[in-house]
Amino acid sequence: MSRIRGSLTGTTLVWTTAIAIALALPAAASDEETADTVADPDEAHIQAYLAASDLYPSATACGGCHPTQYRQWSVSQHAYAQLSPVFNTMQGAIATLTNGTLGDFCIRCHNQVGMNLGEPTFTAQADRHPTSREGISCVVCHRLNREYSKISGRFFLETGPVTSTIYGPTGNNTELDAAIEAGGLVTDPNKAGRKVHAQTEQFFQLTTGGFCGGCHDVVELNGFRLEDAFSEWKNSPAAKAGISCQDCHMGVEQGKIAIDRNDPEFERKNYAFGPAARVGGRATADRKLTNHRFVGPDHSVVHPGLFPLNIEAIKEEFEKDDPTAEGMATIDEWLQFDWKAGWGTDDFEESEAADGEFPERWESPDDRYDARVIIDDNLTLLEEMRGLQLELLRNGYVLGEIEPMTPQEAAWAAPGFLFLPGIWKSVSAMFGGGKSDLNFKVEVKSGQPGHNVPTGFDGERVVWLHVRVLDSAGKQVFVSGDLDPNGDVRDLHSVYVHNHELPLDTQLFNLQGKFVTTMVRGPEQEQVIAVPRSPGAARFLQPEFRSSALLGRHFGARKHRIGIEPNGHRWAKYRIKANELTGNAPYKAIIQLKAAMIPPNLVHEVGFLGYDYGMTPREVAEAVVAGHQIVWEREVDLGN
Amino acid sequence: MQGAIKLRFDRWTLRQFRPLVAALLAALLAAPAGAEEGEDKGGILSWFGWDFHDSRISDKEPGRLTPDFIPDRPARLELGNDFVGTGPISKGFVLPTGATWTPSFLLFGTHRTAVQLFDTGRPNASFSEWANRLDVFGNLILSGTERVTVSFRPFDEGFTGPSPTTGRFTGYYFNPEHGDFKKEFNADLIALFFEGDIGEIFPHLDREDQYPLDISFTVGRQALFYQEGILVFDTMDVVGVTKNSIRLPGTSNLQVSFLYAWNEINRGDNVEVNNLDLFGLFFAVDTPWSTINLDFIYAHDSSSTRVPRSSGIGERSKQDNEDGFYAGLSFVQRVGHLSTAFRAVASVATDEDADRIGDGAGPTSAVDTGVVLFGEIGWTPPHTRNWLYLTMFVGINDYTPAARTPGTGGPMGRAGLLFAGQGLGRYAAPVANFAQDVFGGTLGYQMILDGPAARRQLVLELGGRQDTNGADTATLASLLRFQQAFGRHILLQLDLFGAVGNQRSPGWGGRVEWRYTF
Repeated sequence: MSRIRGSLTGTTLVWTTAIAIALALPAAASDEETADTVADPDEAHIQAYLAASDLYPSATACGGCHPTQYRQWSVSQHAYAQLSPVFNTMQGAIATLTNGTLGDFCIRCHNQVGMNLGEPTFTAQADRHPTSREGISCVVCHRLNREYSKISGRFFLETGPVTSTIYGPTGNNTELDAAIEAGGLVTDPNKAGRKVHAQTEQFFQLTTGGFCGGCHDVVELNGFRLEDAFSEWKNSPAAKAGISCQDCHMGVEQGKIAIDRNDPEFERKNYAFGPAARVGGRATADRKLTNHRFVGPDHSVVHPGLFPLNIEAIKEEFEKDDPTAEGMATIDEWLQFDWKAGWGTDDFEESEAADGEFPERWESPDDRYDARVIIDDNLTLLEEMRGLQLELLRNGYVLGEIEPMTPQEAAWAAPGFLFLPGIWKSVSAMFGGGKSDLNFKVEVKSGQPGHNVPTGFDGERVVWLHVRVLDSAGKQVFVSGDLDPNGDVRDLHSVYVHNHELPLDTQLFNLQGKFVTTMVRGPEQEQVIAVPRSPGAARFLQPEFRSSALLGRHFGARKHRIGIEPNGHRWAKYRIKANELTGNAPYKAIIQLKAAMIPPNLVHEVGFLGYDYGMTPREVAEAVVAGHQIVWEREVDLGN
Repeated sequence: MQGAIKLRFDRWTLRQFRPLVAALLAALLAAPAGAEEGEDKGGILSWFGWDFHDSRISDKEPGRLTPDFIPDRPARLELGNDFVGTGPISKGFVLPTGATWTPSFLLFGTHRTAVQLFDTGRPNASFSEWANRLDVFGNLILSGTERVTVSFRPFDEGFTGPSPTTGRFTGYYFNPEHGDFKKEFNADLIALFFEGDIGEIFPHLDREDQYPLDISFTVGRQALFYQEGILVFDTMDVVGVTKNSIRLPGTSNLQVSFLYAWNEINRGDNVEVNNLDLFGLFFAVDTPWSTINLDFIYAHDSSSTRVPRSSGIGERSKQDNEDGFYAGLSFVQRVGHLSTAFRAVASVATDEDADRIGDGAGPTSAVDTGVVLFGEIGWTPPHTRNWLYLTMFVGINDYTPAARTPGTGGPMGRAGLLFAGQGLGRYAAPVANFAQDVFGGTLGYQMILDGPAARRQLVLELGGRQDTNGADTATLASLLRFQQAFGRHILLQLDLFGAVGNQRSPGWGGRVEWRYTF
């Protein structure tokens, strides 16, 4: 434990106060606490593991009775929140760049349990408690019983074993009591048997957007506004119409309500209905079931043995030699399982396996077959999820009209129209210049009334138009929205563009917000991550000393929001000069609206710290690019 | 001193530098070609922030990630929940309104100590000193949106720079006072304000959270900063409200703020007045191509009484009410590879124009009529994180800021390090930062010398100003700043400048600052 150093002298009130605080604080002012020394580290690990489970039960403990919810959640972004190697490295990289002062910001939302257990903010996932790895698990929402609202994840979670009270939308215990009475369930944590929570209590806020705002309105303690999803919703037509976050994101359709909010059948038609639990062979009575997949723009880039979370997949290192352990292999062992080569499939095992050398854990064909069952199950879930993600994106973004554009419109749409070339083009257009150019515009609309698109972590959500113009022979004469060799669009964040190895895509339409930071002087500098490089060399995160409420932002960094407002639209404008039209008419445009969860330049920017699971930055980036979605595609004839 | 410099250049002729220049050029040219993939390919250029690694994302395999890859959270002076610390969060308590507060307190701040020498080039304006400044902030966090912040500056009285005020910082004057120890300890309250969100304080007003009650407000003494300090840069007693996340078709966000200030307001001449009411209306909007700020302020002076500072400097008589209307408009965007910002800020003396004071390079009236046009362009060169910037401004007539804190001089500090005082001791801006009948600017280059960590930086600036009213006070100056971080709390900063101008002897200055952040 470090101590506060330095002598404070003086007679003023300030000094008295300062000394009093300084004397009072040694216990409070500490680097990360260290645990008492224990003779047997392995034993200590096991004890800590068990103790932690009594505080924050694993989702696997809930999954026994709630298999539908568990399976949905297991492939969700909430379940992936901590496992993501990009998140993990980004957290560590920003902590490094801010000299450790980032603390638990970011990870407090991503990993409530781990942070409450006092785990390090950065480490390999294999070294975390399994419940910590579960990210935003059952207890993170259902052990919360106070209205903390916009607090960026810094809220209190009730502790206790699985038998403790759980909080839900209704607090109706009828079915629970019936299940307990039917026998076979234990509500005393000290008794043997299948344990269940003794009661549920209603926590009304769980059903409102305000509950989501606890994590989905992210303001750093220095006043930097990172995410505004909840605030956007609160001021949206959806909120006014009584459509909550849950209505669009936990219903039967992703990102959209299935029926008018005022329809008397709304609950019945917007949500699934079924038993909330299955105990033994008995299902509880049907009720409204919320969808726990929490579909969003992210997708997994990790080994499918590790994600989706599968009760039968992972065992801990200390269980490695325990045949009764529920999981099949440790994280490190799963990383050795070459699923892409086909291990555990008939094709592989009947042809190539005989010549292969396998790690010790996977020497047995039976084990490889068993592992393959888990892999295939997980791949099925991932594929389902990819389909739902596309549904979400299609409800969020709509490709609208595609129209020709006049030379005047085109001139004013030129990048840098405030500069002389733009002004010259505009003047020229007034006198007939640019008549032979090919100009057109593409409408991109928000398909929903709830928030901007993209929203949330929009500073890293790439949603762009890939536009190609082909001549009559199919030769490409124009392109915008193509990718550099890293998989980035050619914007200022592309390393190739920054290094002037590829030209800037000056007509790129991209809805990604941009982080801009204050330099020593001059305008703000656009950056991949929002860590100012100036003004001081010692970057030390402190609370904003001015009123963030009044001034609205932190003055070292901010996000230039570019997303489309609810129900709004934008026009992407394209200008192809006559001398670029080198082929024969008629020309046609192939227009694709695409979405990526993050740009590879983010992988590059924070990659100096290294990625988990032995992944290279290149592997992570390639997996990110592999997950790109073509949300909409259209082909139009541009004429002669 | 000037003689010594001249002697040195007489001895060292250009011929003697030739081998050194040749070796340097050879190293610069040879270094990028000679390195292997994955190695540092910058050679000597890497010393100046150049990095010639491949643009292709790395295939380098990492080792096992461990907690010691990153620094621990530093020790903090805190009570209650740790500031961004791990461990359980306390449960807090529920207000009668239904909101839950989890109070915690953090003491933070910065101590700056510097030895500095400054010769303005004007008669009797040469000094050397050791000066200290301690900014202490107490932050009582109540919830995610509510907090109380208090601040003190116990080592100084908050004045800096030459006329109209003198430095009053704890330290030691070497010259010209010859050994005068200054004790400026005080417990003056610099700021004390509360800020919160109506919707969060009263959650039960709207249990479904479906109405836009997320209206932020603040009350108390606090620092304000608008149009990058050109319009307002002052600490005053304020009540303000803000509505963010307003939907405006075609834009991504609109924020509107209104404030009323009634006390501790320093006018454009850095002098505090009583019985001044200041009303502000501020708009900030994110459009797809630019961030636009549009700000309006009206200052109503209901008294003819001026409050002089205790030093007496800056006091003057006043013949009429000095109401003023102010407006600022800015566009901040990236265009091609360039970052750009354009601002137009105006002041209008609505009662009557004030008498012009001085030659335009010095203090102004409390309020007068004028406009400042201000442009900034920045560019990050390839293979670097460096920052080449150009700022330009034109002051038309006699622009006066709506409020400007004592010791910060005029409003053009944003134009360059050369135009900004240090806020510590008497080391003022090398180039006058007032905005009457003037044009000027700065060309600067900020070098990040050590990669992503950005702990070592070098800044070079060349800048100047020229009046347009015939006073002929043109000034040209250059500056060098070096910064190096040590550990997590300490920053060493070296500054050096030289300035030449009409109607003045060459001026120069240098300083070494040690900054401790906690």
